[in-house]
Amino acid sequence: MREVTRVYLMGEVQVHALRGVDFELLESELVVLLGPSGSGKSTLLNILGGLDRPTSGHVFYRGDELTLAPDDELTEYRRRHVGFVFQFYNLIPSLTAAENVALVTDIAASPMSPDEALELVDLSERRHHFPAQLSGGEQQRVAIARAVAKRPQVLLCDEPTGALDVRTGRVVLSVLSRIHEELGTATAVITHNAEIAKMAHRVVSLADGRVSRVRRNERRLPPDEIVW
Amino acid sequence: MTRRRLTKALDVKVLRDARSLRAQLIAIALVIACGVGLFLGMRATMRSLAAARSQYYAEERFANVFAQLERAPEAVASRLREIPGVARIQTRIVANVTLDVPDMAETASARLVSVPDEGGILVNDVRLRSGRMPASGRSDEAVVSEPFAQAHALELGDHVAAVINGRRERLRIVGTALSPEFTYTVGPGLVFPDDRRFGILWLRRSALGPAFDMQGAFNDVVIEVSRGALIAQVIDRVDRVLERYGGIGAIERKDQESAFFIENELAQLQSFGLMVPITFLFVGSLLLNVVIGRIVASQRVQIAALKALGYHDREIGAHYAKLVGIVTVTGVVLGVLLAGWLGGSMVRQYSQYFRFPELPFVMSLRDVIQAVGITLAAAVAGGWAAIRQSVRLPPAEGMRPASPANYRPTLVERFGWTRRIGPNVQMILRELERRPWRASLSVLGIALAAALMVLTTFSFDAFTHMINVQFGIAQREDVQLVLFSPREVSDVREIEHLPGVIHAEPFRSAPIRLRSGPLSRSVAVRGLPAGTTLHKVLDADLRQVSIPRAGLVVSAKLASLLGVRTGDDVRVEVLEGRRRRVNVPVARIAEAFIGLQAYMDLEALAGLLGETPTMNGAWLLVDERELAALHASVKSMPNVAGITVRADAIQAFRKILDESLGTSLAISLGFALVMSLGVLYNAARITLSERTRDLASLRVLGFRRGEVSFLLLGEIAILSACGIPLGLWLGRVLAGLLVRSPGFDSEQFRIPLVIEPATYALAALTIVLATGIAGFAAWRRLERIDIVDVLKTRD
Repeated sequence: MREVTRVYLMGEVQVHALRGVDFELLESELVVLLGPSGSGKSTLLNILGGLDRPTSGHVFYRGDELTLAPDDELTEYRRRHVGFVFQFYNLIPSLTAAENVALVTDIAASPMSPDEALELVDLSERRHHFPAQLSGGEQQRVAIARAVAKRPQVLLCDEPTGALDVRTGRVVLSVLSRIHEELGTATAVITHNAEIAKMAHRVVSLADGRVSRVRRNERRLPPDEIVW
Repeated sequence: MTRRRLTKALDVKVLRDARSLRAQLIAIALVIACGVGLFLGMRATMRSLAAARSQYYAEERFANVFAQLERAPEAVASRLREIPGVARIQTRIVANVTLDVPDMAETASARLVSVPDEGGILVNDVRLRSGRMPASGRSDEAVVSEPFAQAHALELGDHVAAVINGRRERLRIVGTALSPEFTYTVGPGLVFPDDRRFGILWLRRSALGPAFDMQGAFNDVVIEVSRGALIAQVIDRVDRVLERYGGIGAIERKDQESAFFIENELAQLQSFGLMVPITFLFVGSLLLNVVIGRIVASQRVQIAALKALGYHDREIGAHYAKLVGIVTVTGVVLGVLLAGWLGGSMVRQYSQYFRFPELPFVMSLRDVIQAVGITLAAAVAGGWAAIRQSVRLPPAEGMRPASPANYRPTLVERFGWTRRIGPNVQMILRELERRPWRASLSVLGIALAAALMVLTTFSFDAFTHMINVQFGIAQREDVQLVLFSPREVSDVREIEHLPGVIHAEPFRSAPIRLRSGPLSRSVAVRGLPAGTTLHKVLDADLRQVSIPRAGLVVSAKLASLLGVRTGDDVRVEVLEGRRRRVNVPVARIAEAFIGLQAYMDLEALAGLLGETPTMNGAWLLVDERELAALHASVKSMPNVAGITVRADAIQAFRKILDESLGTSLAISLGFALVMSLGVLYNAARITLSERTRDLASLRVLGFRRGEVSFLLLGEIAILSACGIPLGLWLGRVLAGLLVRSPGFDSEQFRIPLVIEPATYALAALTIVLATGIAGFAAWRRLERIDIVDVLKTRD
């Protein structure tokens, strides 16, 4: 994305979420977007994932411009290429783990089976449980299984450990990292936790709607060595 | 190892959502079922009646034109046959007589109808149900109408005695029959069918001819008109031919008594069968809108997630549409079942009054399809706005919690009445005023349920009022005697000497045609003696209208049909005797619920007829204890064509009322409860789901269970309190529309708009009951809520 700004109205106040951001997510890359709350990182992720449009600037996916794409095209883009993992999991409470994954496999072009996807996150034996019967970490792993089941080109994670304790968070990060290794999916992880940045190829720091710093990790830390 | 999934995950969600919301959705489905059931049930009843009718009319060659006259030689028949457009005619002798039936002390009356001695009946054939037709040339054999035979348990071979032109004739019953002419029969002087007091007897013409001085002559003719012929022209020509023979004006089929009542019932079904079901479907649609809207609002985060996963707007829309679909289909299926039951029992009910040879219940596939179509349209209309709103929500926005609700001081508070209403009520009012649209819809739904209750039950008040006015104020006589032919007015003294008669007043009735410009109506004008105390003519305010020395008093309906007002002249054509034509002014307008009425002073009428004052009937005040003796002596009086006892007419009415009141009330109550419960229960559940967190917070702050319940129940109580008066008013408005619709305001009768306080009270109580039930159900849910659990979970 180039020169992206995003302004929206909160009640009667104009909020400048992004103020001219250039950002690129490369294939097979794991990027961490680091920044305090209100720095614009969620907005950036939403725009990357086709959930939102910039107020100005341009967004491209593999050379196709998404900036002014109609809703249907953005939906198709999400449906084919993007996997989302949210801070609050956003599972459908009335569906079991397997059915939540099936939501995606039902509509994807060449998905894995829900069982396969749950296997990837070590939750095969919990597949018939409803979200309310799963712990937070398990719910987040279901959400990850749901995101990767379609074999997306892009995996976008919004504070995936934000609602979890350290130990569970670490398990979730390991799963993310392993999947990234196995599937080679370009992955962007949002966090306000600088420690998590140590597992990334590249760390992009945001502050006040701008990219404040870009740093490459010479040595990536495996998730189970991360401490916070 | 993975099994191919048969159901998509999103469809599983539909089913699970439906299950968790089942109570609310069933409530809506029931409202829809009522709409479909009523629409289809009444529609099927209409179709069943109409189909039985057209088959019956065709098979028995029911006439298109009916004419009565004084007497015409049979040769006139050929002149009638030559009229262009006339296909077939049947000349007959028809007369009303009194009847002595073994099992009845009182006098019954019967209409004698001749059947030809040779050849079949060409027009208005009879359908034999048992036995045979009277043998040709036998004057002592008769076929009796089946309902009359059933009412008296008459068997073939039994005898009845008829007073035929002064001679008491013993008639042997050789058969029972039905005729399209008498599918619905109301005896003279009665308001409702009474199969015990009035029957039809078919005799050979050779038996009736000598008895009524009609040998080689006829006094009634029924005509079948060829396809495509103009009925009005035929009637005109028939009238011209019969004028010389005392014709009182031919009528077409739609004005024939039996045919009219069937047609009228169909018209009533049509009015009711649209108004009531549409109300249900409208409320069903409102409920879908509100409930689906609420479901969608509560799932905004889920919707956003689905969008993020790549679901298209239309897929998400379809997802919620399926929920609407489940409710609708359930409603339709239940509705069709309800229609089968309702229609079946309505048809059974009708078969007691409309005596068709067969009245099978038929429900046509076309109507079912139509009902499904209308219901779907209502459901789509209701669900559409709610669904579209959900689908439009941009996904990124859906992820954020909804902005906090905007509250403001209510109108009541702005008026400064705060102190009087207390903080609890304030909270409820603010909640209602924050969503005025939803609150209004709920109030409207409740109001419609109350209105429906009024609409479906007020007719009992109206009928009771009709009867009270007719038999309590207007007709004060205990007995009405109708004579075969006019007598001197002074003969009323003779009648006064009959056993039990305290007082007698003569009247004269004569057939006339009234014309005003191009408008005309044939009616019977009644001449009343000056200063009558027994038979009062009333105005709209039920005050007695005095009959002026000169001029006509006409009922309001007749005046409006002729387009005349007080003071206008009408052309009166007398249809008997010297058939004079005179202009007479309309002196007053009266009120009449039954028929088209015209009154004159007895002497003024004599002047119009060109004769000295005569009477052809009398009203009697009778000592009740001697009624049997009176009946006994009337049975042998030659000139009496009929006798009606007011108490019998009232009793017949009460019987009909009692038979139908209980069932009708129960059905109306059931429907109104379903509708009001559907609205109130959903309103309570929605409030509960939206405010669980608030209510739980209040509990944490130390509010007692009762205080928290008050907030929830107070809301639906306020909705009901607003809905009830609106509904009662609306019920009156709708009833007002109904009584002006064709089936309720006809030339034969007008149903007045009378609604008793008890009817309003019953409607109000129904809503109160529904409020109680809905409140209790919601309260039980509230009691089960775990406060801590609620506060822990995220919206």
